[in-house]
Amino acid sequence: MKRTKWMLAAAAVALSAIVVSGCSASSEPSAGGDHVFVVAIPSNPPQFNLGVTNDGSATFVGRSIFDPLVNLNTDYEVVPALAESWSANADSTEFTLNLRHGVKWHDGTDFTSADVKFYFDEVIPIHPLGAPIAAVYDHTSTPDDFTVIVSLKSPFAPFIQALAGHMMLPAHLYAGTDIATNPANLQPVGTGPYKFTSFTSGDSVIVDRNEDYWGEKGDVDEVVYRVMPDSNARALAFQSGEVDLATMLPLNQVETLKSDNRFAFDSAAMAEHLYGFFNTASATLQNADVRKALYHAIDRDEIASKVFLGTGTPSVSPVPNQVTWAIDPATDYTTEFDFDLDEAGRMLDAAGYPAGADGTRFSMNVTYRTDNASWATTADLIKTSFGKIGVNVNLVGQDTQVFADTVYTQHDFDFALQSLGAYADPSLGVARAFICNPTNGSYRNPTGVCDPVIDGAFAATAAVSDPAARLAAFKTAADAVAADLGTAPLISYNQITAYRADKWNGIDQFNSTDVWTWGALRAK
Amino acid sequence: MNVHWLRYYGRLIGSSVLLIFVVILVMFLLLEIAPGDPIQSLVGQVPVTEEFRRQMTATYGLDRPLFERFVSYVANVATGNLGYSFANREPVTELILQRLGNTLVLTLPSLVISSIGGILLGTAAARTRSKVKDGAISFAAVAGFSIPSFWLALLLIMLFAVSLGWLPAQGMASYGSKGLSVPHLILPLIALAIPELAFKARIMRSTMIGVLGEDYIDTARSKGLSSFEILRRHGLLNSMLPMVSVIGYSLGFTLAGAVTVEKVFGWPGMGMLLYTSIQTGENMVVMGILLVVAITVVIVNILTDLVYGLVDPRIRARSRMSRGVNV
Repeated sequence: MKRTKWMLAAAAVALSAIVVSGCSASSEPSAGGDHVFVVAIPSNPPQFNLGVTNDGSATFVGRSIFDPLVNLNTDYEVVPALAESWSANADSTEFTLNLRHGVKWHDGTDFTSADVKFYFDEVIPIHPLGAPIAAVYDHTSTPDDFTVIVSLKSPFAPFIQALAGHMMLPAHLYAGTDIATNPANLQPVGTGPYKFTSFTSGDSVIVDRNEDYWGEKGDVDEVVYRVMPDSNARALAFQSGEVDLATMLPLNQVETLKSDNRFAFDSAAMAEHLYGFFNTASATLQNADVRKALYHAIDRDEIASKVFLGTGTPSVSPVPNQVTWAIDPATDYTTEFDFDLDEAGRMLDAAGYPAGADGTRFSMNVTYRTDNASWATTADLIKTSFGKIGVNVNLVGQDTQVFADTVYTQHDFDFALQSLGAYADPSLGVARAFICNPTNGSYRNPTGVCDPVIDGAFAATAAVSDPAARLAAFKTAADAVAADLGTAPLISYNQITAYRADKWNGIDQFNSTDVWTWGALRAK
Repeated sequence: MNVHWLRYYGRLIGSSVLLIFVVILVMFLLLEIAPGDPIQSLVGQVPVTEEFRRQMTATYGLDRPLFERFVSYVANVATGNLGYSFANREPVTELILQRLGNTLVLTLPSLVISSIGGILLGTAAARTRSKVKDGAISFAAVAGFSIPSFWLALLLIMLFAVSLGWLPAQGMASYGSKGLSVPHLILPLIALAIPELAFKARIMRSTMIGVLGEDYIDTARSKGLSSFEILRRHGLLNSMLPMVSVIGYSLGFTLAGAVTVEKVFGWPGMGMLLYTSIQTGENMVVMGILLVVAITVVIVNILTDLVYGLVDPRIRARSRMSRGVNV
């Protein structure tokens, strides 16, 4: 039977191709204990030095290797970390930090005030989030190994809050080197609950429990961060049980996963804010009344329910809704700029843009990023809604890089959608979307609005520590923003974290702060 | 091998080197005008401080003029140095070599499976007298070729990883293990091979139908050969000619397809590196990968030409006759 033989030979070749390609397989479990916790990260981390990158995946990993001086709890209250206590002078220009004793870096060196001084002197000026501190920083003195006194040139009330975003780096490895290219960026040494074990580029990062950790230790012996770039595939991998914790899942997938009682969902700590930026250099949009009319024509309740599926709410002020202490009850953009197409039409008539014979007033672009389906859907809803008042919208979807270039550098847009994190304090993460941006920096206000009242009000929110005075300054800022409306706050939301409730206890506390609280995580 | 052949292959290699140079030039200019800020992507989606931008620009010589950078790039490429990756802090050549192996364990089996499968399926469709069978194979081939591979990949994950739970959904091996495991390979391999297999089956079917209509097939039949022998000795061998070029070309498509498949399966290969590097504006890495792919495709095409000459006596004969050499 020559024929069968021939077919068999072909099948054998095909099969051996699979086997040969698989022969290098050596499934050798790495060292580590029983409890492995798998986290899906959305991209390959460029490196792990959080002093020079704010990359999402690097932050995920860095959070378990490094410690900040202080941390924030869910109520945005400062809690101790590497600093056990702190105090400020009366005008918020000098801060004294008392460091925890007996903390060691993962390589065995002692953590001391010299590390903190090095951080303020060398890392803060180049840190992605360092600008607010760098602007007021004067010098640091270290009377002993565990006392740090930071002196500022001018008052900066949220100084301690601002420290929550800063992970301490080992001065003995970084001092006198190029921080951005130091080899330790890929072999990170921290003081945190997990020690770096290995990094396979494009595949995974493995960290193992630091048995000498100063804080509470959890049940997890080893954390594996797996690179899963495709958001749908990430959701499927989570569903199939390969992953214990995943974020940045498509919201429609989250809806599907909710029906499965193995899974639970929690909002990440940081408030995110979706903004609409009006380009005030555009011929039509340079008129503030046109901008306000268009703000009236965005159905933000619909966006909150259809795009964010109830995980977001229409923003009432420049500060995201979650940060309640910074929002004056008298400020409410949802009533001041309520969804009202008739009102929007009347305002456009009055501004000199009556509907033409075909019902059209003018055309404009709405530019959005294509990396997340939510922005495309939001832009679509805006297009439909603007269409009803005779404003034709061309949708311009762009890749992250192209978007940053066209919107922030070229200013080639009419209305652009961008989501920005609020960070530990609204003076740090929110102000940048509203204050003057003369250098055209990315992820800052691209509208061209340069209003001394807005700038002054946001500066005032940072200069005083009295809560009532800060609230009043935020109110002034909110009123000034509403008067000019370059940046329109759209939706306040939080990233959703999905986790395995059937395998782990305490994830809500684990996920509650800027830094993950590994001590709270217990295996079921 | 005579002087003529040496001259022929000399010309082929010369034009290939020129082609590679043009690829470098065009890619360099395209990436130069493409928007993107490597320093920004290094930092993430937050403002870059002026101090950091100044340091990085100086460290990486980003302020040098375009022509100067191009000349030094070409000179480096000639010595096998593809530049330095900002974000990965590694020479691009090393970065690509690390990932190349992972891509090859996916693409080479895919190439073998799709070629053998395509030949078998195409032949089966060509020689069957059943309209239903032929129609079914042809329909499956068109469908297989038209399905976007990312969608096929997601469907495979949904069926085999989520619903049935037979195979893993992501990665090359179980978490915390090194190397490659066969179960992890199966789904990406299927997702990568199916469109290629379908394409090859269609080519094979039409070629085989043509060949089976030739006079020498009738001659073979009249000699009394069994239909299987006719297919094996005369049909397959003669149909292999177009298949040799198709298989050669398909390497390029398979490498391109690996980008999507690697992304969906979280496979740490060259395709995923390309995807990440485009996203982060890492032009040196993008250039390097495209160059490696271009050189591979050019080399494979030269090899295809060589193989063509070897398997087809007519081509050798024709070239001799054109020079007036006695056959």
